[in-house]
Amino acid sequence: MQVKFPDVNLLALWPVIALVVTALVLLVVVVVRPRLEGAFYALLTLAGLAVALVLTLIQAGSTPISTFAGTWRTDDFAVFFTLVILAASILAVFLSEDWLRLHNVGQPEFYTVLLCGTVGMITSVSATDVMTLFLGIELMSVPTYLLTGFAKHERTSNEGAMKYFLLGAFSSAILLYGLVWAFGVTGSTNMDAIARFVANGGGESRPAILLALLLIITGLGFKVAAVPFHMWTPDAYQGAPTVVTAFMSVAGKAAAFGALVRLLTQAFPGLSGDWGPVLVVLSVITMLLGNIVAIVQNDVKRMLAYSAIGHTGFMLVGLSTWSPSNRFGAASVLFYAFMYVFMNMGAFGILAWLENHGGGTTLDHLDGLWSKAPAAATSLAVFLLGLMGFPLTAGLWTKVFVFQATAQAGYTWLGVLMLLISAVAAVFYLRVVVRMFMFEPKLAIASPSQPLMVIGLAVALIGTVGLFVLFTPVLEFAERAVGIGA
Amino acid sequence: MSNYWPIALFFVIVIGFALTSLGLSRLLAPNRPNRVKNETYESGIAPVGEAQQRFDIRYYTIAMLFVLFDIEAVFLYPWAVVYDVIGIYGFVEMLLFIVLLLAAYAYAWRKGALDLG
Repeated sequence: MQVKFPDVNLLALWPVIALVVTALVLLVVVVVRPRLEGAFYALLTLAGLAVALVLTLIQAGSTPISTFAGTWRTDDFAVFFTLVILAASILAVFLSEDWLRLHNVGQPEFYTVLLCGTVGMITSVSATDVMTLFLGIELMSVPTYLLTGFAKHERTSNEGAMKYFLLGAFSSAILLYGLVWAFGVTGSTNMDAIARFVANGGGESRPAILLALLLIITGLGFKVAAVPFHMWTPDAYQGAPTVVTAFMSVAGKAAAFGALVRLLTQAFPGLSGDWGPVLVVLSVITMLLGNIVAIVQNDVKRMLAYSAIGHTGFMLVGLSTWSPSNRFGAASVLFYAFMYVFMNMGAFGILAWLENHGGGTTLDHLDGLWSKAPAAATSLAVFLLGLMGFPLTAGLWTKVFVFQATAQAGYTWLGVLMLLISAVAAVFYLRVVVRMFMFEPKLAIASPSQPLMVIGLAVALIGTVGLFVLFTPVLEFAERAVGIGA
Repeated sequence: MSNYWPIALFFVIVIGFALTSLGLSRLLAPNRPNRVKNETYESGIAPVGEAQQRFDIRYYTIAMLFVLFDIEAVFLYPWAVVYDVIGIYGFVEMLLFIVLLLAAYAYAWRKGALDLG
């Protein structure tokens, strides 16, 4: 008997290997040297993530590698999303050390779970086989359930984790069912093979293909928190430790969007006329609900959770305009995901700091923050203006390019609607800024500066403002990643 | 679409068979319940206590460890059977798998998961 082994090109996997090794080393260090300073684990994790980042940057220049019998492809698309995910993970480690130390929860465990989740996210954006993609989505989801419940003595954290777990498991099942239908009809789990099968619309199997597509969009709709699949989001985002909320809403969303874009544009490009309108409907209700419900929130953390739903809507607008002849919509989604890292990680980072040292994240806690902690107040204002899409922040370009995508695809009305909703969203972003700068402080705040946190927030701030000027390379990379000009 | 007719027929037969057998049993069988018959079925032993009771949290750790080693066994048996065919490639793959498990096992041991006292 002769066995044919799949070809394995480890060059494609170096960043992932670096992360897995770091996670293992963390566990082993706990066994060998149980009593180490918390910051040591954070630095070890950062070292692993930095190595992975460098290895990914090296991959960015080289030719695409397809390996493991065509189930994994490290191309520009995968590299782009890997960079987004790694950036979010690195910022999350910088921002989390403070909270972990104050609450005396297991630091190495937290970082191990975080790294496992990062590996899952990278897997789900690098997969070119629907089963590998599902594996990645699961490897991403299970650690995020754990991270959501990491504040194990707080009821809200437990509640959020339970809801997230139940709905997450449910949505994974729906996604898997959709992938199985796709396999049953096309006879392959490989995205290119599926694309060849559906190139002419699917022939007599068209109803079954459309069912598969619907189930896949529903399953991944849960993961990106699109309305009406968003029910878990506010509770999970509010209950989770604030840094975890930031990580989930940035890296988790980026990975789920990566999987969605990869599936829709590489496995079902021939059906863009079918899934495009579905995404248009989803994007409109997601934008409306996320941004309007955010207005009435009193807790800024919950407000940002709804704002995260709203941003999902904006990104879906970009993706819905995609067609094989007009790929700019997908590029606008990639660009959005990249810029979103810095703005959202920064905003949640300030909230995490406020929660750690000021007691809470309601609007009352933010009153007059300017007079007590000017740097924090200014930074939060910049991040919120970025999320709003204000000029002089990278947020402006995210909205501009999504609008450009709608205009190119003849969906200008959708782009105009998006801009109108952005104007509505300004209400709740600016309200926070007004309360920080113009109200009298109500509550006391101790403001020790945490070195790791300051570095993380500085990076986010530099990213938010700096990328306003230097957005061109990111946009060009995003365009190359989705196959424009290739 | 015509390729899918056998599947539809299969569904109809399955659901029809289930409904028919349950319905016939309901119509034909005598129904004489009493207290003993209505008790929870415990394989012939008299039931004790309520079904909704609390379990020791340690069962969950044991369950996790069981899964850990169960999966390992599931992989190791077929691997050992075809070892002469897969050779060094299979050996390295399995080594990676066992190293991953070993780290998790060492961690669980250190954290006292095996300490049941």
